[in-house]
Amino acid sequence: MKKLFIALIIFIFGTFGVLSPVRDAFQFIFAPIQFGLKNVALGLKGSIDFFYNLKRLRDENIALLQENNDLTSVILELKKAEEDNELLKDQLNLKNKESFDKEFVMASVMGNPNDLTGGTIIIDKGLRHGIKIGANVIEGNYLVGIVKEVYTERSLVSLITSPSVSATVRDIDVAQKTEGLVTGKYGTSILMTRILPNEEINVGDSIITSGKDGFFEPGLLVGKVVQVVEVPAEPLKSAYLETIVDTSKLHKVFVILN
Amino acid sequence: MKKILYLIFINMILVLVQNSFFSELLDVTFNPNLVLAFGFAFLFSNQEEDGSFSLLIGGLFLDLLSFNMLGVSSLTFLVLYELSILIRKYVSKGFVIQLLLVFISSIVYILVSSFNYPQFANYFGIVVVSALTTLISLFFHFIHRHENKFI
Repeated sequence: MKKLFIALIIFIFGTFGVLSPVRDAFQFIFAPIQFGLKNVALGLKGSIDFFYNLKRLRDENIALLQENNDLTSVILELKKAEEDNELLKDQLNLKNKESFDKEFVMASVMGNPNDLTGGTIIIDKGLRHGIKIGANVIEGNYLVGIVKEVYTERSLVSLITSPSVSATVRDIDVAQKTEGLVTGKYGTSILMTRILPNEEINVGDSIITSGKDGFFEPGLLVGKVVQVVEVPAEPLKSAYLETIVDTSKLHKVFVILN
Repeated sequence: MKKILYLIFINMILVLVQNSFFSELLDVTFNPNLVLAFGFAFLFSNQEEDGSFSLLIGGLFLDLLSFNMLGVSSLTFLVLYELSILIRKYVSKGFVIQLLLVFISSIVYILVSSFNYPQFANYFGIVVVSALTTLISLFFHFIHRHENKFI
């Protein structure tokens, strides 16, 4: 009973945040061990997966080699286009404006053991590194999620695949730039809703954030359309997207600071 | 004193393994609660004081390394532990009842600690985790039976 009383005292102190410095110090000290253990686990998991999927990996390797050859030629074309693009940007004086002046901080990713849905991750950067609640988390140009809670050394990120996250988006592959609202559906699945019936959206289209919600930076890639749903009785269309980044296998992410 | 240091050290290791190693290797959906299993295993060996201290320290470590409200794990563990002691005292000391107490305690703890997160009817995962925790508790019980020789 004495220990129950001590636990109650700790809980009351914890509720008022009195013990937050202890938590910060504890997380700072144990972060290297935690991330080390996480990497060992991932390595072990990778080895198990490798032996389990050896045949499939061989076929995949052959296909990837072929794809690599194709992509090499595409890269050459893109480099040429990039040079042209730089020239045009300079000419239009767009550089150092809008989304070109963002600052990032790189963070290591750890799963959140308390969230059985897999809708959140923990990253090893927090207030000390300039991260604030609402900061966008990306990998490359792909949207990963948004910072939900911040402590001195760590932050909790709600993934774009979590049902608690919604963002306004648009389709960049159609001329009329079809707009909608995306909400996570767990795993790698995202549902895009509120698409007007006369607007065009096709399987394979790339969907990016429009920035109209005020929470997400515009132009971040959310996913590709895998299925368009049209119910005659309903006035609006919807579509299922698949994330390009596998959120369950994230190692490093970038947090947009400003 | 030696026993206290031993419990603090073991719980630290268990929390690190549970939160960083098993959560990645087995996926968070099937991550057994080693701290609960270790603490409740003392119940089988009638070492109730050691069990409550272990759960207090283990719960505190769990909260310090996670985004839980500080103290919520210790408090939940100890409330469940005290209830289990009462059930043992007034209802039954049968082995199956004790296993059932660990199983139910694990389920209750998962529901309490994941209160902030949306649940999507992953009851299968909760049952599997609790069953694993119960089995591991049994394993710890056999360790507890022999550890007094060494400490």
